[in-house]
Amino acid sequence: MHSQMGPAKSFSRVALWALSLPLAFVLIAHAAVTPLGPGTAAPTWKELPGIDGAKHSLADLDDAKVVVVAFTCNTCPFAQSYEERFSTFAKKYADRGVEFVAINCNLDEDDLLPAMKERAKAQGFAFPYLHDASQSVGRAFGAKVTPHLYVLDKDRKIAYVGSFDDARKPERVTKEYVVDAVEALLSGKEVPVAKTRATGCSIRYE
Amino acid sequence: MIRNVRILISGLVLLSLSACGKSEPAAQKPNEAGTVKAPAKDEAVAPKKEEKASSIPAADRPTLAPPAPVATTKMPPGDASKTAPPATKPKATDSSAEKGKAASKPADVVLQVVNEKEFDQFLASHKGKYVVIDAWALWCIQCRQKFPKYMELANKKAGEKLVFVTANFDDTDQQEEAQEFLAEQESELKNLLIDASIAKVQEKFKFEGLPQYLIIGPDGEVVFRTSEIENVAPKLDGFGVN
Repeated sequence: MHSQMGPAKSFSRVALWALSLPLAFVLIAHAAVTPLGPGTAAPTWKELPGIDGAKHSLADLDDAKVVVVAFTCNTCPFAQSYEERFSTFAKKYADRGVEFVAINCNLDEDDLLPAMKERAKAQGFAFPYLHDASQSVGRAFGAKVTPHLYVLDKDRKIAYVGSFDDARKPERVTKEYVVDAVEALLSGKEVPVAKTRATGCSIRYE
Repeated sequence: MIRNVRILISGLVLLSLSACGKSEPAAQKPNEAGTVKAPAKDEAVAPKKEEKASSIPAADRPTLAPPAPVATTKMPPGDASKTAPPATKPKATDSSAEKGKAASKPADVVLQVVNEKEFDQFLASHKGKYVVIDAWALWCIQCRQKFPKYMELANKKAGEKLVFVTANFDDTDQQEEAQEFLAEQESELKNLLIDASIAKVQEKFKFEGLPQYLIIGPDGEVVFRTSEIENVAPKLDGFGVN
């Protein structure tokens, strides 16, 4: 039916196209963020500013056997309860070819670089802490909460996504998902649990 | 020309339809929604298990039975015998204005501790109704910020077919603090503290992180989940429960 109406078709096509632009924008802005699943190639990041004043890219870590990415922030008490665990983990695995990187996607003043530097210093962060000011890295990974963890294997595919472990209080932890995934990757075994639902504060995407 | 307009209109309708579909995938795919399993086959064994779960002294562990509204909001239910009120809320005595307010607004804010099974049973007992759950925790700043909006919605919409329930995910040692927050918010709703791993509950209801607002449909299944309270009212309107 449409093919018989040349001018009508082109008119409506133009009209639809023009109308769909703002709609598409709305859709992108409100699209639900969904975490990338295991087996997916990890998005990269380039030149994210870190608390050390340097720019950081995933490519800088090409020598690492495993990269652990933690989307976290300054301001979420749930995430804060993991800071010490993150530092302990980063130190423990540093000489086994595992890199731990924390990325903050929130944009409130308390979550900008100056505040990040302060927090990292006060809490003794033993890992790079980067700011994703465009929120594009967080969106690309589909990070929903802080903390949201991604373990990347040597091919930089996602080997694990989810929580760091299964309890906010260290004494209640029964499953160390990230540790288990990393240990499995280092010894060439299959990751026991490749996906959990992360718990924490929703990342404030704008 | 009329044809043009007609095509344009149908295109618009199509577009807006697809827009709805894309922006709220959770609601469009009920099959993927988390199932709140009615504990039909579990019901027989429930009481026994419940007993088993009560390793904490009964006095500290409010049951699922209708809670007696406590006169003061400071005490957790069943804990009334415990010593002095917490030092964090001494206001009530020092200002007559506040006293007046307290008197005109009896404090019926109760926070009831339930385990996973009891939470299931609670939801199962509301089959046939829509239940709007505010899943929150003290550690979740956004939850606290958005709480008044949830209360506003609850006060406006709660009714026979529409039940509002708050579900707290702090540890039980923060029960008092959580109850104080609920009292400040005048949340005279069904307030539950879910004494279970949030990871497990998230798995069941298929959400990640807080805040989370869940709408449970009359058949006991999650029909909508969102981290934005503003999304809830339009959805309820869409379901025709308003």
